[in-house]
Order: sequence, then C-alpha cells, then structure tokens
Amino acid sequence: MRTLKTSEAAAVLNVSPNTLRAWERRFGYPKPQRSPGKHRLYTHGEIAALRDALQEGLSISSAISRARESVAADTHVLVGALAAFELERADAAMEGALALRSVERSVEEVLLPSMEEIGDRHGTDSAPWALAARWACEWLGRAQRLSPPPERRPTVLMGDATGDQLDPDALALRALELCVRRTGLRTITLPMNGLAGLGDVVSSYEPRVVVIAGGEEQDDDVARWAYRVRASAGALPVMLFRRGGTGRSRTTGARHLAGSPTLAARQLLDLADGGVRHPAAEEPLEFDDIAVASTSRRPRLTA
Amino acid sequence: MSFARPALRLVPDPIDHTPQVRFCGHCGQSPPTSKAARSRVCALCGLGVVITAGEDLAPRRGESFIIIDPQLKLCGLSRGAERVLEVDEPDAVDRHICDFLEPADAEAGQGDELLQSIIVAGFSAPRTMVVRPAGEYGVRYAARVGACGPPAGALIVLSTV
Repeated sequence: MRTLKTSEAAAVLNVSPNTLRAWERRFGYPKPQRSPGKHRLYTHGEIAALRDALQEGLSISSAISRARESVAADTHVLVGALAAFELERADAAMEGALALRSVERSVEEVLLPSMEEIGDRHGTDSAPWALAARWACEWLGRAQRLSPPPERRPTVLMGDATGDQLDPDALALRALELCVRRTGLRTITLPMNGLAGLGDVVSSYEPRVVVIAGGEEQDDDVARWAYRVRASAGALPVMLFRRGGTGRSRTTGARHLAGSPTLAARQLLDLADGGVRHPAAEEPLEFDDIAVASTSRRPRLTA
Repeated sequence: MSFARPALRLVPDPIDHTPQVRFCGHCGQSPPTSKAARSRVCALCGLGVVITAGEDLAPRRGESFIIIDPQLKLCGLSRGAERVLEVDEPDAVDRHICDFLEPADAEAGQGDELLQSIIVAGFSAPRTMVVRPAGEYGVRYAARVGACGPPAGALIVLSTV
C-alpha cells in the first residue's frame, strides 16, 4: 500500500497541509495513520478518491461523503462475495481494500464489518457463516504469515477462551493477533484447557502481558489457567478482550481492552513498552467463588 | 440557375450574458488571486469549493447561502447558513432541502414553489421568493434561487426581508 506524507497528499489535492489537517478535524477524513515518528501518513487511494470527488462535488462535505462511499464500496463487494459463496471474489475484494488502506484498517473497516453483516443476515450457527468464518480465519492467518517477523522481545500471551472456529470472538482474536504482530510484538496463543506443560512454555517466552480473549470458557477454567501462568511468570497484567463488560472487571481486577483490534493492539503495545507493572497485576485474581493468589511466592488456589 | 443565397443577418443573442463571479461555497469570499481562482478548494478558508454563479445571484457580503444538487439534496452550507439553520454542514449534507427550508407562504398551497425554482434554476434567470426555516414561524428570508456550478447545482442566497 502506497502512503503519502502530509505535504505530498496536500500537493495531490492542491491544498495546503493546514487545510488537510483542518479537514481531518472537521470531517474526520482523510484519516491518516501515524509513522513510527508519529507523523501523518495518508493512503494514496483515499487521497486519490478525494481528488476525484472534489472535481465532481459542490462542497468539501459532499466530496468527502462521495469519497467515503467509494471507499466503503469494498465492504459491499465483500459482503456480496461471501453471501454468494464466491471465495475467490472475496479474496479479490480484500485485495481491493488493501489498495486503499493498511492491513489493520482493511480488517477493521472491511473484513470485520462484512462478517458482522453475514452474521446478522444468516446467524452465526448457519452454513453461510461457517463458510465465511473459515475463509476469514484463513485470510487473517495468511496476513499474519506475511507480517514482518517480531522485532521486539516483549511477548503478549493470549489465552484463547473462545469457542470453536465459528465463534465470532475467535475471529476477533485472530484479528487482534494480527494487529499485535504488526506492532512488532511477539504473540503466542494458548488454549485454556492445555494446562500440562504450560509453565515451561510461559517460562520460555517470558510474556509481559496476558490477554484472556473470548467468553466461552468458564471463569473457574480461566482462573486455573491464569494461576498457572502467574505461578510461572510472576505477577503480570491481565487484560480481557471480548469477555463481557467494558470497564474494570468486578471479580478479576483485570481491565478490558478496547473492542477494536487496532486500539487493543495499541493498548497492549503501550503496556508492553512501558514495562511497568499494571496495577491489576498485584491484585488477586478472583473468578466468582475461586480466588487465585497473584504472587509467585504464594501460589495457592483457594475455593 | 441562380447562385443567390439568403443573406446572413445578425440576430439577438438568446443567451443572457450576466457576468459570472467565483466565490467560496463556505466562506463566500472571492479567490484573492487568479491562481487561487483556478484552484478547486478555497485558498482562504480551505473548507469550501470555489464555485461560479451569475453576478446578480452570487452572495454579497454577509449573506448566507445554501448549495443544492440536482437531486434536491443539500450539498453545501455557508458559515452564516449553518448559524441560520442551526446545523453543521457535515450533518446536513445529502438531506433534502425541504428538511431545512420551505416557502413562507406554504399554507397558501404553493409549497412546491421553492422546489420548482430549484429545478428550473439552470434554465432561467434567478428567481426571488420568501422562505422560512422548515417548521419555524415568524422568521422569514428573501431568497434568490438560481444556477451555480460546476458541476451543475442550484444556489439559494438568503437575505433578511
């Protein structure tokens, strides 16, 4: 995907960089990403769509509305392809989306909304959903394999508390893995029911943050898993992703990550980079009637 | 055999050549330089597209105006019109003009007059009528309705009665 700096994007549109920033404030468009140095980076496709729309629009608002529509067309194409069970066309729709956006935004703005639409139309226990969900998981897996190898040592350990591959939360977890991987962090995802040898794996990777994703596993299973992790790696911040609620968990003291995979990945990056102990890390983990001591000095499970 | 042919004669030009002026569709200001006049986006405020309209229609200093597309949907509001209609341009775009303005004498059965004026805007001289914000009584504006562009659209300029 080709990106443009603010001055380059402004030159394409024949406006000043200040005007471009004023549009971002007033209309929320075009929506730039940030470079590692926090500079704005605009996708070429978005700027080109806006340039064309400006020629046909009577106002900036209507031009932006038109440009947004042309960018949103990818979602319609993907939903159409998945609803017609044409997976090659679905791949092509994502290719089209990637021409206009980053991988993260393609997932956030095209893939996940399209899957939500398919789920709403057919239900998540239907064959069309199953086909689409498998395709989406495969696509996310491919995108993850093409991601650059992790360049940072901190690892995020993800506890998979989702159901099977058809669970919508499983799809969100795959999306989160991809977004975290693309921030440069290492991720490992382990199921909640694999307790044997868990300590060895955790000691080997030395994760800095733990994420419990999904709402299918029972609280006591999650508590046992988290206890084993903390017994091996010490007190770690535990974050919840798509596990009900939005604020601070009443029972666990763990905090909820944002529902958006991109935002959640950014939160995890801040946590991992900061290297500071999350306040929740020192608190006992309690899942309903089970309390798990959080320090490695006192690894005791009390009922 | 005759080689005579009808003599060519000058006839009156049927097209009205009202001078055209360029102005920003948001701040209403004329482009400050010829280079700025060729630009699509206003060089002064950056929030409007530079459009053209007849001199007799174009907004004068302090006048609010609205730009309508051929589908009768609102596609631009001046800063003053945002205040008059109590709506921000991004929230108003793509909504029907009847959501915002109606003829002041709508009760008299001439409710379509505003729409008719917009539809014929490209084919006739600017029309003048009295309008009011939709659903509001006691507030009236004199409106000049005519063509603007490019692309083709209609311009409603509001001034106090």
